[in-house]
Amino acid sequence: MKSYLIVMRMLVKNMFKKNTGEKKGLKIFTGIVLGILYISILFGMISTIIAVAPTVGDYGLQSDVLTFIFAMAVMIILVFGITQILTGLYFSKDTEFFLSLPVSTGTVYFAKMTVIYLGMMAVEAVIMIPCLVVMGITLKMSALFYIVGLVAALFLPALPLMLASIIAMPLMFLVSSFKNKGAMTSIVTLILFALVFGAYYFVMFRVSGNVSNPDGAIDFSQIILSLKESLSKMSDILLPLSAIARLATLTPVYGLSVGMSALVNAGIFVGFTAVLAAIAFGVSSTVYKRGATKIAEGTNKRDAGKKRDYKSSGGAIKALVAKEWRQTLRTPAFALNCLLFLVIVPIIIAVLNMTSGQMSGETALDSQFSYMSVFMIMMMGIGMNYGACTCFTREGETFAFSKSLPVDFYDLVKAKQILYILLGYICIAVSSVIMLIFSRDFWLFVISVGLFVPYNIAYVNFAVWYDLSCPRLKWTNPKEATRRDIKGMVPFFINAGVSMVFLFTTWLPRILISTAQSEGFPTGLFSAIYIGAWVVFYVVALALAVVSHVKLKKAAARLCERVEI
Amino acid sequence: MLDIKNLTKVYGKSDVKALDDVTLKLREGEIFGFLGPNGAGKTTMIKVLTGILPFNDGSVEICGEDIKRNPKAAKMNIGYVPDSHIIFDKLSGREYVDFMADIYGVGVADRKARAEKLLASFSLTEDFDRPIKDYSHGMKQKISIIGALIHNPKLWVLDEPMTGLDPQSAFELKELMREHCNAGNTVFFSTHVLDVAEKICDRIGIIVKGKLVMAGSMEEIREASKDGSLEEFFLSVAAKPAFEAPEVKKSETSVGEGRKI
Repeated sequence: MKSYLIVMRMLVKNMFKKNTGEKKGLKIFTGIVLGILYISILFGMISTIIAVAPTVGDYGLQSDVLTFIFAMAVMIILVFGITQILTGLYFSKDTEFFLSLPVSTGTVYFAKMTVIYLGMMAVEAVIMIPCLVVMGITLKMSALFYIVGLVAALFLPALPLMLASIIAMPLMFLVSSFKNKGAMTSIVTLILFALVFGAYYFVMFRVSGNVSNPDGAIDFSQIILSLKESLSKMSDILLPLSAIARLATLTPVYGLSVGMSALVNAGIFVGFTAVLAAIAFGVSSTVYKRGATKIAEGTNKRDAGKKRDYKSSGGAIKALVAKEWRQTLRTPAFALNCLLFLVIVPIIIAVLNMTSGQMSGETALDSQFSYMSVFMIMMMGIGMNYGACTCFTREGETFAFSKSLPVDFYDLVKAKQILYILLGYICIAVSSVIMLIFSRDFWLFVISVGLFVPYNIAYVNFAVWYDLSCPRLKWTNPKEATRRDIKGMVPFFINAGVSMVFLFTTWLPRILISTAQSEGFPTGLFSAIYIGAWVVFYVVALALAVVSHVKLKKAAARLCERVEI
Repeated sequence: MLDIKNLTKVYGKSDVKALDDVTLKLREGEIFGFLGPNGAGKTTMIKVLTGILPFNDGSVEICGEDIKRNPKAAKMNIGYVPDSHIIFDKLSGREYVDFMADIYGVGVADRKARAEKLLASFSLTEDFDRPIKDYSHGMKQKISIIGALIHNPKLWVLDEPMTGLDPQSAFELKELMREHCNAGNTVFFSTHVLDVAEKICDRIGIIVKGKLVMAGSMEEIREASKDGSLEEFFLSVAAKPAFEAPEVKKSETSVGEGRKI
């Protein structure tokens, strides 16, 4: 127990300690960005709760909706938990260090799991507790709701984390059997994200059901009935979560009295947690010991005798691009942040189109949802190209090595430009083709892709320039260079703003054109605005692509030179 | 102190033995230098005897404690300085040393006395409360050494300890190694710097392709060498297959007399 506390305390200190030497301005900026992000997430969730509260109360969906909220939190913790367990527990840099200490591997396992749990709980609690309070007030819940809700918010991460530690075991053995563990961890993590997000959107798609009337209009009472049925099914499947939700809302179950139901629900939750804990801790701590030594052994030595041919990249720039790609793919924290958009955006576009098609049937909503796809590709497919936003920061102190290479400074920049423009194009192409398949709006496909070609160049150039102008090279943990580098989010936010402007200046006139046509009004003005907006966006995107390229080329040497390592 | 018997280590399903039937015995009060070409098995050996890596055959005992059967007790006797930097670099030097002292159960008075002496030797006192990530390579090495010595280990294991140290610090480290061994402890370190090995080691072991091709005192090596130098002997051993290595009397234990640096 003493060793456990010592190790845990040290891990917590190392994890949560602030970066020293960071500029005050940057700290304030980071705080503001984080604050805005937190407030906007919270605002979105709270306003949704307030909006749906009357319907939830009327239809008696309290416990089902609470189960749904818990399920969302559990799903997010599960995905991030598996990633954290793989990268922070099994494939952590400190494995060898701890193995050399007179501390059992079980102690290290429990200490690390506690730290992961605390991190997850902190993030989950700051979002969930305000939401539960708002839900309690709007639905006039009893005091028990707040107590159970608070307990649930604090202990909820335990369930998915235990599940994650069980799922992580075979994944760890799978990954450790490959020579390039970094790349494999990245790939496994990306697949996991794709699976979970795919499953989430699929459930949402199923939940929405066919809710249109024969005349094509949306029937909201049908939506609610369909939703109620789906939530009820989900509650039956997610028994431990629905048990705690039913306990909080004092919902009677199995024909029992309220008091007995509360006891039964509490028993179900505690029982499930205990069984999962026994399996997770019993098996995982043993597996961790084997896994840690297996990982310490590595697999490279096994392949030491294998001969491989020399390969020429065909020039310095291509070699730099290959290096950038390999570094990104083979560092799981980098891959997760920089390549996730390649997986997520096409899934979102596919499900968005599937769902909209299901909801709208053959109505005019089709084209509007296609516009939403274009907006999503612009905002996420281009904006989430996070690799470009952190391309120099991620080099860390090895940027000194890059600077020592006998190439022009602009070549260092150019290699990054090429890679991230290409990645952006891959995401745009895949997502746009998916949109075309579902919407069959060939004209929209052509004009949007035509716009994205120069716009993607402009965005990547700006992101690269922005990162090069003040890179944060002093980090040791790759997470510090990506997830914890809030500065890297600035280009994303700017692009999100531009995307919103695009959406309203092109989508709105289009809706007005449809409405005017159906009402028999003239459409000339709206058509002019619509065409004008597209022309303006084309001109601006082309101009930005050219100007940003020229500016970046001119500034590259000066910016690279002034970076001190 | 350290008793290694017929140690064999194979990585995964490889048919190459990283350590091949290694037998070695170290007693109290000796500095043992472990030499070998790159990839010969030096770091594997160090990781096996510090309990980081499992092994296939043989046994490793530290102060009578078997590293496989009783790893915790065996590790309590070891102070390990790895070849890589400290990972927990957001901690300050003091926090790191406190952590190591807590793990090895060192009281506050003892840790203070030892840390202050070591900090003064390495001229690190003023930087003790700065985050490790702000340290230079050499300073990180120094704080790692202080952490490893905070519990006054009976066996001090160092992997390539001279890398990155300035001449003054390298000298201090050699002094410390001698001092530690004069106090009845044992020092086991790997190095590529033959001059260092020649100057401070009581005995030297050379490993080639996982086989310990010789382990003997400097006198024994000089006798076996053509020109009496460790360099000539090392090159002749490292370049040839194990069975062709020059004959040298393999002494199991020969304690030095407190060699001067």
